[in-house]
Amino acid sequence: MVSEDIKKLVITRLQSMPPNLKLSVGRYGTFTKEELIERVQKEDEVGKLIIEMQLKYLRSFKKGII
Amino acid sequence: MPKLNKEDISFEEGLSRFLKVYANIPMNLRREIILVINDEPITWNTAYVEIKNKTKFREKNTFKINRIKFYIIW
Amino acid sequence: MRYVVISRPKFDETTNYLYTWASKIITSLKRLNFRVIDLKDKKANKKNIENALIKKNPSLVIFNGHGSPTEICGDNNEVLINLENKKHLKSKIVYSISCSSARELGKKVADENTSFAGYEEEFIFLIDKNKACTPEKDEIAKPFMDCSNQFSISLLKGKTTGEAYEDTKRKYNEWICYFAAKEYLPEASSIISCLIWNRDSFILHGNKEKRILQ
Repeated sequence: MVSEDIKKLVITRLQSMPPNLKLSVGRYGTFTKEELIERVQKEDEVGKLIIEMQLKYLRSFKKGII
Repeated sequence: MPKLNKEDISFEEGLSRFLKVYANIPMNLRREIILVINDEPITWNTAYVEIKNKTKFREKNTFKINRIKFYIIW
Repeated sequence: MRYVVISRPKFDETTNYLYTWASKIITSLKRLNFRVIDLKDKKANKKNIENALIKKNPSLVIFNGHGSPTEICGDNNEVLINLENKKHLKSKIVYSISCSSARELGKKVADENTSFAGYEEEFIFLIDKNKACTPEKDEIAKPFMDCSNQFSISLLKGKTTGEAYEDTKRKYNEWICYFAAKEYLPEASSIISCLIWNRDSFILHGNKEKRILQ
Protein backbone atom coordinates (compact mmCIF):
# COMPACT_ATOMS: atom_id res chain seq x y z
CA MET A 1 0.00 0.00 0.00
CA VAL A 2 1.59 3.27 -1.11
CA SER A 3 1.03 6.33 1.06
CA GLU A 4 -1.48 8.89 -0.18
CA ASP A 5 1.21 11.60 -0.06
CA ILE A 6 3.37 9.68 -2.52
CA LYS A 7 0.44 8.88 -4.81
CA LYS A 8 -0.60 12.52 -4.83
CA LEU A 9 2.95 13.56 -5.64
CA VAL A 10 3.24 11.09 -8.52
CA ILE A 11 -0.18 12.05 -9.89
CA THR A 12 0.69 15.75 -9.71
CA ARG A 13 3.91 15.08 -11.56
CA LEU A 14 2.06 13.05 -14.21
CA GLN A 15 -0.46 15.87 -14.64
CA SER A 16 2.38 18.16 -15.66
CA MET A 17 3.37 15.75 -18.46
CA PRO A 18 2.71 17.21 -21.96
CA PRO A 19 -0.52 15.78 -23.46
CA ASN A 20 1.11 14.51 -26.66
CA LEU A 21 3.23 11.95 -24.83
CA LYS A 22 2.53 8.25 -24.38
CA LEU A 23 4.53 5.90 -22.24
CA SER A 24 5.44 2.42 -23.41
CA VAL A 25 5.64 0.19 -20.34
CA GLY A 26 7.17 -3.04 -21.55
CA ARG A 27 4.75 -5.93 -21.86
CA TYR A 28 1.88 -3.89 -20.37
CA GLY A 29 1.38 -1.67 -23.41
CA THR A 30 1.35 2.07 -24.05
CA PHE A 31 -0.48 4.61 -21.91
CA THR A 32 -1.54 8.23 -22.13
CA LYS A 33 -1.03 10.42 -19.09
CA GLU A 34 -4.70 10.07 -18.14
CA GLU A 35 -4.38 6.29 -18.26
CA LEU A 36 -1.21 6.41 -16.18
CA ILE A 37 -2.93 8.54 -13.55
CA GLU A 38 -5.78 6.05 -13.41
CA ARG A 39 -3.34 3.17 -12.94
CA VAL A 40 -1.51 5.00 -10.16
CA GLN A 41 -4.80 5.66 -8.42
CA LYS A 42 -5.69 1.98 -8.73
CA GLU A 43 -2.19 0.93 -7.64
CA ASP A 44 -2.18 -1.97 -10.08
CA GLU A 45 1.04 -3.44 -11.53
CA VAL A 46 1.50 -0.58 -13.97
CA GLY A 47 0.61 2.00 -11.34
CA LYS A 48 3.13 0.58 -8.87
CA LEU A 49 5.80 0.52 -11.56
CA ILE A 50 5.18 4.18 -12.40
CA ILE A 51 5.34 5.13 -8.72
CA GLU A 52 8.60 3.21 -8.35
CA MET A 53 10.01 4.87 -11.44
CA GLN A 54 9.09 8.36 -10.25
CA LEU A 55 10.51 7.79 -6.77
CA LYS A 56 13.69 6.34 -8.23
CA TYR A 57 14.03 9.49 -10.31
CA LEU A 58 13.46 11.81 -7.37
CA ARG A 59 15.87 9.80 -5.19
CA SER A 60 18.50 9.97 -7.93
CA PHE A 61 18.96 13.67 -7.08
CA LYS A 62 20.48 12.57 -3.78
CA LYS A 63 23.64 11.17 -5.36
CA GLY A 64 23.43 13.09 -8.63
CA ILE A 65 21.58 11.98 -11.74
CA ILE A 66 24.78 11.03 -13.58
CA MET B 1 9.40 2.30 6.52
CA PRO B 2 9.73 3.32 10.22
CA LYS B 3 7.46 6.02 11.57
CA LEU B 4 9.00 9.44 11.61
CA ASN B 5 8.50 11.61 14.69
CA LYS B 6 8.56 15.36 14.49
CA GLU B 7 11.66 15.27 16.72
CA ASP B 8 13.56 12.71 14.64
CA ILE B 9 15.29 15.17 12.35
CA SER B 10 16.32 18.60 13.55
CA PHE B 11 15.68 21.56 11.29
CA GLU B 12 19.40 22.27 11.00
CA GLU B 13 20.19 18.73 9.93
CA GLY B 14 17.27 18.73 7.51
CA LEU B 15 18.33 22.05 6.02
CA SER B 16 21.92 20.88 5.69
CA ARG B 17 20.90 17.70 3.84
CA PHE B 18 18.44 19.60 1.68
CA LEU B 19 21.02 22.19 0.65
CA LYS B 20 23.57 19.49 -0.25
CA VAL B 21 21.07 17.80 -2.56
CA TYR B 22 19.70 21.08 -3.92
CA ALA B 23 23.16 22.35 -4.85
CA ASN B 24 23.74 19.23 -6.95
CA ILE B 25 20.63 19.66 -9.08
CA PRO B 26 20.96 21.09 -12.62
CA MET B 27 19.31 24.50 -12.86
CA ASN B 28 16.57 23.41 -15.26
CA LEU B 29 15.53 20.53 -13.04
CA ARG B 30 14.99 22.79 -10.03
CA ARG B 31 11.53 23.42 -11.45
CA GLU B 32 10.61 19.76 -10.79
CA ILE B 33 7.67 19.09 -8.48
CA ILE B 34 8.94 17.20 -5.45
CA LEU B 35 6.16 17.67 -2.89
CA VAL B 36 2.44 18.19 -2.69
CA ILE B 37 1.31 19.88 0.53
CA ASN B 38 -2.35 20.71 1.04
CA ASP B 39 -2.84 20.16 -2.70
CA GLU B 40 -0.14 22.74 -3.44
CA PRO B 41 2.64 21.44 -5.70
CA ILE B 42 6.09 22.43 -4.47
CA THR B 43 9.18 22.52 -6.66
CA TRP B 44 12.80 22.37 -5.56
CA ASN B 45 13.00 26.16 -5.95
CA THR B 46 9.89 26.77 -3.89
CA ALA B 47 11.06 24.38 -1.17
CA TYR B 48 14.43 26.15 -1.05
CA VAL B 49 12.82 29.57 -0.60
CA GLU B 50 10.27 28.41 1.99
CA ILE B 51 12.68 26.31 4.04
CA LYS B 52 15.65 28.68 3.97
CA ASN B 53 13.59 31.72 4.90
CA LYS B 54 11.64 30.05 7.70
CA THR B 55 8.33 31.19 6.26
CA LYS B 56 4.96 30.57 7.90
CA PHE B 57 4.28 27.94 5.27
CA ARG B 58 7.37 26.02 6.38
CA GLU B 59 6.46 26.32 10.06
CA LYS B 60 2.97 25.02 9.44
CA ASN B 61 4.17 22.08 7.33
CA THR B 62 7.51 21.02 8.80
CA PHE B 63 6.34 17.54 9.68
CA LYS B 64 5.02 16.84 6.19
CA ILE B 65 8.13 18.33 4.60
CA ASN B 66 10.31 16.11 6.77
CA ARG B 67 8.27 13.03 5.97
CA ILE B 68 8.52 13.51 2.25
CA LYS B 69 12.19 14.32 2.53
CA PHE B 70 12.58 11.02 4.31
CA TYR B 71 11.17 9.23 1.28
CA ILE B 72 13.06 11.18 -1.32
CA ILE B 73 16.22 12.71 -0.03
CA TRP B 74 17.49 10.20 2.50
CA MET C 1 30.25 -17.06 -42.44
CA ARG C 2 29.27 -14.63 -39.66
CA TYR C 3 25.61 -14.88 -38.81
CA VAL C 4 23.48 -12.55 -36.73
CA VAL C 5 19.92 -13.46 -35.77
CA ILE C 6 17.47 -10.67 -35.07
CA SER C 7 13.98 -11.22 -33.82
CA ARG C 8 11.66 -8.24 -34.33
CA PRO C 9 7.93 -8.83 -34.08
CA LYS C 10 5.56 -6.01 -34.96
CA PHE C 11 2.07 -6.32 -33.54
CA ASP C 12 1.55 -3.37 -31.19
CA GLU C 13 2.80 0.16 -30.63
CA THR C 14 5.83 -0.90 -28.61
CA THR C 15 7.03 -3.61 -30.99
CA ASN C 16 6.44 -1.24 -33.92
CA TYR C 17 9.01 1.11 -32.44
CA LEU C 18 11.50 -1.65 -31.61
CA TYR C 19 11.04 -3.03 -35.14
CA THR C 20 11.95 0.36 -36.65
CA TRP C 21 14.93 0.85 -34.34
CA ALA C 22 16.29 -2.58 -35.28
CA SER C 23 16.19 -1.65 -39.00
CA LYS C 24 19.11 0.69 -38.42
CA ILE C 25 21.19 -2.09 -36.91
CA ILE C 26 20.32 -4.45 -39.74
CA THR C 27 21.51 -1.90 -42.31
CA SER C 28 24.84 -1.57 -40.50
CA LEU C 29 25.23 -5.33 -40.18
CA LYS C 30 24.68 -5.86 -43.90
CA ARG C 31 27.17 -3.13 -44.72
CA LEU C 32 29.74 -5.04 -42.70
CA ASN C 33 28.98 -8.25 -44.60
CA PHE C 34 27.23 -10.10 -41.83
CA ARG C 35 24.60 -12.60 -42.87
CA VAL C 36 21.49 -11.33 -41.14
CA ILE C 37 18.65 -13.67 -40.35
CA ASP C 38 15.89 -11.13 -39.94
CA LEU C 39 12.97 -12.82 -38.18
CA LYS C 40 10.49 -10.02 -38.57
CA ASP C 41 6.72 -9.78 -38.03
CA LYS C 42 5.17 -13.24 -38.01
CA LYS C 43 8.55 -14.89 -38.66
CA ALA C 44 9.50 -14.08 -35.06
CA ASN C 45 8.23 -17.43 -33.80
CA LYS C 46 9.74 -20.20 -31.73
CA LYS C 47 10.27 -22.65 -34.59
CA ASN C 48 12.22 -20.12 -36.67
CA ILE C 49 14.28 -18.91 -33.76
CA GLU C 50 15.31 -22.38 -32.69
CA ASN C 51 16.15 -23.38 -36.27
CA ALA C 52 18.26 -20.28 -36.74
CA LEU C 53 20.10 -20.73 -33.45
CA ILE C 54 20.82 -24.41 -34.02
CA LYS C 55 21.59 -24.48 -37.76
CA LYS C 56 23.35 -21.12 -38.23
CA ASN C 57 25.13 -20.84 -34.89
CA PRO C 58 25.12 -17.02 -34.92
CA SER C 59 27.71 -15.07 -32.96
CA LEU C 60 25.14 -12.39 -32.05
CA VAL C 61 21.44 -12.72 -31.28
CA ILE C 62 19.27 -9.65 -30.80
CA PHE C 63 15.79 -9.97 -29.36
CA ASN C 64 13.28 -7.17 -29.72
CA GLY C 65 9.85 -7.66 -28.24
CA HIS C 66 8.20 -8.34 -24.95
CA GLY C 67 9.40 -10.59 -22.19
CA SER C 68 9.44 -11.44 -18.54
CA PRO C 69 12.13 -12.43 -16.06
CA THR C 70 12.14 -15.97 -17.48
CA GLU C 71 10.96 -15.53 -21.08
CA ILE C 72 11.71 -13.77 -24.32
CA CYS C 73 8.71 -13.38 -26.59
CA GLY C 74 8.10 -12.91 -30.28
CA ASP C 75 5.11 -12.40 -32.52
CA ASN C 76 1.87 -12.01 -30.53
CA ASN C 77 3.83 -12.81 -27.39
CA GLU C 78 4.67 -16.36 -28.39
CA VAL C 79 7.45 -17.52 -26.10
CA LEU C 80 10.67 -17.90 -28.07
CA ILE C 81 13.16 -18.63 -25.31
CA ASN C 82 12.53 -19.70 -21.74
CA LEU C 83 14.34 -21.67 -19.07
CA GLU C 84 13.68 -24.94 -20.96
CA ASN C 85 15.36 -24.08 -24.26
CA LYS C 86 17.85 -21.46 -23.04
CA LYS C 87 20.68 -23.83 -23.96
CA HIS C 88 20.33 -22.66 -27.59
CA LEU C 89 21.81 -19.32 -26.51
CA LYS C 90 25.02 -20.82 -25.13
CA SER C 91 28.37 -19.53 -26.44
CA LYS C 92 26.73 -16.54 -28.11
CA ILE C 93 26.41 -12.84 -27.46
CA VAL C 94 22.77 -12.18 -26.66
CA TYR C 95 21.25 -8.74 -26.51
CA SER C 96 17.68 -8.74 -25.32
CA ILE C 97 15.50 -5.65 -25.25
CA SER C 98 12.71 -7.89 -23.97
CA CYS C 99 11.59 -6.52 -20.64
CA SER C 100 13.20 -7.88 -17.50
CA SER C 101 14.62 -10.94 -19.29
CA ALA C 102 18.05 -10.20 -17.85
CA ARG C 103 16.75 -10.62 -14.32
CA GLU C 104 16.54 -14.39 -14.29
CA LEU C 105 16.82 -15.88 -17.80
CA GLY C 106 19.88 -13.78 -18.62
CA LYS C 107 21.61 -14.76 -15.40
CA LYS C 108 20.98 -18.46 -16.04
CA VAL C 109 22.09 -18.31 -19.68
CA ALA C 110 25.32 -16.43 -19.08
CA ASP C 111 28.59 -18.20 -18.35
CA GLU C 112 32.29 -17.90 -19.20
CA ASN C 113 31.53 -18.38 -22.93
CA THR C 114 28.17 -16.62 -23.15
CA SER C 115 27.28 -12.97 -22.79
CA PHE C 116 23.77 -11.74 -22.07
CA ALA C 117 23.00 -8.04 -22.08
CA GLY C 118 19.53 -6.80 -21.29
CA TYR C 119 17.21 -5.20 -18.80
CA GLU C 120 16.29 -6.38 -15.33
CA GLU C 121 13.14 -4.26 -15.26
CA GLU C 122 10.52 -3.28 -17.83
CA PHE C 123 12.05 -1.34 -20.71
CA ILE C 124 10.18 1.95 -20.67
CA PHE C 125 10.19 4.70 -23.27
CA LEU C 126 8.22 7.75 -24.31
CA ILE C 127 6.62 8.29 -27.66
CA ASP C 128 4.96 11.23 -29.36
CA LYS C 129 1.32 10.23 -29.95
CA ASN C 130 1.32 12.25 -33.14
CA LYS C 131 4.26 10.33 -34.60
CA ALA C 132 3.26 6.82 -33.55
CA CYS C 133 2.70 5.75 -37.16
CA THR C 134 6.16 6.96 -38.20
CA PRO C 135 8.51 5.96 -35.37
CA GLU C 136 11.54 6.93 -37.43
CA LYS C 137 10.38 10.58 -37.22
CA ASP C 138 9.61 10.53 -33.50
CA GLU C 139 12.07 12.93 -31.82
CA ILE C 140 10.75 12.07 -28.35
CA ALA C 141 11.62 8.39 -28.82
CA LYS C 142 14.97 9.14 -30.45
CA PRO C 143 17.09 9.11 -27.26
CA PHE C 144 15.66 5.72 -26.32
CA MET C 145 16.43 4.35 -29.78
CA ASP C 146 19.96 5.71 -29.54
CA CYS C 147 20.58 4.11 -26.16
CA SER C 148 18.91 0.86 -27.14
CA ASN C 149 21.02 0.53 -30.31
CA GLN C 150 24.30 1.54 -28.73
CA PHE C 151 25.20 -1.95 -27.49
CA SER C 152 24.91 -3.42 -30.99
CA ILE C 153 26.69 -0.45 -32.58
CA SER C 154 29.66 -0.83 -30.23
CA LEU C 155 29.90 -4.55 -30.94
CA LEU C 156 29.90 -3.79 -34.67
CA LYS C 157 32.86 -1.50 -34.11
CA GLY C 158 34.79 -4.47 -32.78
CA LYS C 159 34.40 -3.71 -29.09
CA THR C 160 34.03 -6.33 -26.39
CA THR C 161 30.73 -6.92 -24.65
CA GLY C 162 32.12 -5.16 -21.57
CA GLU C 163 33.08 -2.10 -23.62
CA ALA C 164 29.72 -2.12 -25.41
CA TYR C 165 28.00 -2.22 -22.01
CA GLU C 166 29.98 0.80 -20.79
CA ASP C 167 29.27 2.64 -24.06
CA THR C 168 25.55 2.07 -23.53
CA LYS C 169 25.65 3.45 -20.00
CA ARG C 170 27.59 6.44 -21.29
CA LYS C 171 25.04 7.03 -24.04
CA TYR C 172 22.27 7.06 -21.44
CA ASN C 173 24.21 9.59 -19.36
CA GLU C 174 24.83 11.78 -22.42
CA TRP C 175 21.12 11.99 -23.15
CA ILE C 176 20.28 12.55 -19.48
CA CYS C 177 22.77 15.44 -19.39
CA TYR C 178 21.38 16.83 -22.64
CA PHE C 179 17.83 16.97 -21.32
CA ALA C 180 18.89 18.16 -17.88
CA ALA C 181 20.47 21.19 -19.55
CA LYS C 182 17.56 21.83 -21.94
CA GLU C 183 15.68 24.97 -21.00
CA TYR C 184 11.90 25.13 -21.12
CA LEU C 185 11.38 21.69 -22.63
CA PRO C 186 8.21 20.28 -21.05
CA GLU C 187 9.09 16.70 -22.02
CA ALA C 188 12.52 16.82 -20.41
CA SER C 189 11.54 15.62 -16.94
CA SER C 190 9.52 12.68 -18.26
CA ILE C 191 12.30 11.68 -20.65
CA ILE C 192 15.00 11.87 -17.99
CA SER C 193 13.03 9.75 -15.53
CA CYS C 194 12.60 6.99 -18.14
CA LEU C 195 16.24 7.16 -19.23
CA ILE C 196 17.41 6.80 -15.62
CA TRP C 197 15.08 3.85 -15.11
CA ASN C 198 16.39 2.02 -18.20
CA ARG C 199 20.01 2.95 -17.55
CA ASP C 200 19.94 1.58 -14.04
CA SER C 201 18.28 -1.68 -15.04
CA PHE C 202 20.61 -2.36 -18.00
CA ILE C 203 23.03 -5.15 -17.15
CA LEU C 204 25.59 -7.48 -18.70
CA HIS C 205 25.94 -11.06 -17.46
CA GLY C 206 28.66 -13.54 -18.36
CA ASN C 207 31.69 -13.03 -20.55
CA LYS C 208 32.72 -9.38 -20.74
CA GLU C 209 35.52 -9.97 -23.26
CA LYS C 210 33.53 -11.47 -26.12
CA ARG C 211 33.52 -9.83 -29.55
CA ILE C 212 31.41 -10.63 -32.59
CA LEU C 213 34.23 -10.14 -35.05
CA GLN C 214 36.22 -13.07 -33.69
